Amino acid sequence: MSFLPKPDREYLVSKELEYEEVEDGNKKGVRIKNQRLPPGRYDAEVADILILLPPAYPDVAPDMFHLLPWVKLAKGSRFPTKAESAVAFLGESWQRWSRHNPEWRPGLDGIWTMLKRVEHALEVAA
Amino acid sequence: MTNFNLSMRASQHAELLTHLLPESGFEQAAYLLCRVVAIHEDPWLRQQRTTYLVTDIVPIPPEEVTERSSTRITWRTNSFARALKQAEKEGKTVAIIHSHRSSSTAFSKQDDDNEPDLIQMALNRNGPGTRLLSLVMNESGDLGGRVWRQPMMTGCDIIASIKITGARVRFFRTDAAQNASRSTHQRQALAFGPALNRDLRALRIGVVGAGGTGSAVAMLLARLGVGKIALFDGDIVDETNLNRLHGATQTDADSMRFKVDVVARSIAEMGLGVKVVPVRGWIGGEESRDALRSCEVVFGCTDDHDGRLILNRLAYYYLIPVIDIGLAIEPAAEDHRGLLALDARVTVIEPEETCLICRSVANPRTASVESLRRSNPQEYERRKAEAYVEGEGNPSPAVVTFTTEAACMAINELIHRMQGFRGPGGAAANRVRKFHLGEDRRPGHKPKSGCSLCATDKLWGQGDTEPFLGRIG
Repeated sequence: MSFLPKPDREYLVSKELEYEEVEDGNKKGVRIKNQRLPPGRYDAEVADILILLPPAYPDVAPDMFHLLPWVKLAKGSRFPTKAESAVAFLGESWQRWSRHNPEWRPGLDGIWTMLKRVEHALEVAA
Repeated sequence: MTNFNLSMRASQHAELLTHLLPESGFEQAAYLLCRVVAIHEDPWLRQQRTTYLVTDIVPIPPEEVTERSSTRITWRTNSFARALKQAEKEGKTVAIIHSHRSSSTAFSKQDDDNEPDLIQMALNRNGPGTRLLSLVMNESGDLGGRVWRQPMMTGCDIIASIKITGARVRFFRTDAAQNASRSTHQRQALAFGPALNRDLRALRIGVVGAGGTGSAVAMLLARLGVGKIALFDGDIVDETNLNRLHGATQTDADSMRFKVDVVARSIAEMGLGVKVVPVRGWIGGEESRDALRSCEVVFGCTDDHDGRLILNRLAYYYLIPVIDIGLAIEPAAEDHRGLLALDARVTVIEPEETCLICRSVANPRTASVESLRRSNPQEYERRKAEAYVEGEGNPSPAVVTFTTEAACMAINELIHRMQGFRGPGGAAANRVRKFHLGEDRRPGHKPKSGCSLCATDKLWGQGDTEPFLGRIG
């Protein structure tokens, strides 16, 4: 049983992203595997991204995202700001990136919007 | 036994009228593609219910018509094969619709002879389990229909009701009570005629939220003569509800009864023969789905923004008009002299009208907080402590006369849409009554560019999808 809205599924497939719909208790999300991180910025080159999707999604925004493995900034070898705490999901400890989303446009936005935001957050993290 | 039904939009019906009843006086035909709503158990009939939702109208190309007169139309089946192919790809069912240039919506001997070949062709093309619908439109635009059974069983089942929804809502029913001349509603027939009473008797209405407005809506619908009502609410009666919850007593509060049970009991005690189904739970829960999808019209009487987001989607996905009610009372100051607002709002959500999000009625951010509180209370508390989310505000003001008048406004909108007492142009998709100013306004809102629900027709009539209503949960 797929719980991802159809436009999200179609987007992920069209971008040839390797993803899994994941569920832990009443939490649902999508795990996008082996995403390239901006080169040289982190102590890892690829990571999995976990995006938790609230029940009213896609009318409401997903909140925050998570990385595995945990990454540190290459410069200074520390965790980026507001990316220091852990969230347990399916027995793994994920690095929670507290990034909020006041600009969500219901009816228009979807996983594509969220992935752009993740990409941006990873580019500008300090 | 399955109870079969079909819904289409008023603009689709208008398109069919033009196409199927040409001035030449000849018969004409078209294909319809329909998405399916498969309901495991209709809460009133306690049996399966299948509703077909019309998404596409495919006229038969003139070059394929081989014979045409006022009593007969024959055509080649190339376009039928194309319609079957599209239906298979899009998870749809094909309906054939043709006109009778008379007052009859009954199938003719010729229809009975020809259609078995078509169902056989559909089965050969799209495989076992394929259904075929056949509809007839008479000279006045009335519709009748049937669903062909699987090949192992001969014959077909009648489509019990066909709903046309838009600024007017019409029903063509074979399941309408033939004898609705109970003396209880005679005085109402004196105002609006006997047809409205018959239509109301057969109507299935959902009332979402059984609080101040919802209890008023439900009790008034029962008095009005609506035959089937489903109530949705997971709350219990609280002492602070007693100023406005119709039917509720202190005993109900003390024994912590569900609001839906209290309202259902009060309706049953009227003795008007109304079948009331109480659904104890949140409207987004799986336990509500069969009952919700079995409704022909829904009244939204909830303060819950996430609940509103669900009804907002339901209206477009399922072609179920949702009449949403809101009340805003804003005292000017602590001393209660004067008011900033004392407004009742009634908004009809349906295809071709602007959705609640684009009207800024449903607030997704509030909905998000509500759904977090519901699905993950620990996380909600944690974020509240971190001041990421706002806590609940103070209880909002509520006065029974205004909640009840809001209910009357909403029901009168439905009566107009069924009976037409306000005349052409009388339907109001959005009406705000400003009690303190003594006036009604009709604020208009355009769909926001790109809104997937109301700015395009892609989701209209999609019916059952995975996930339900295209949402996570």
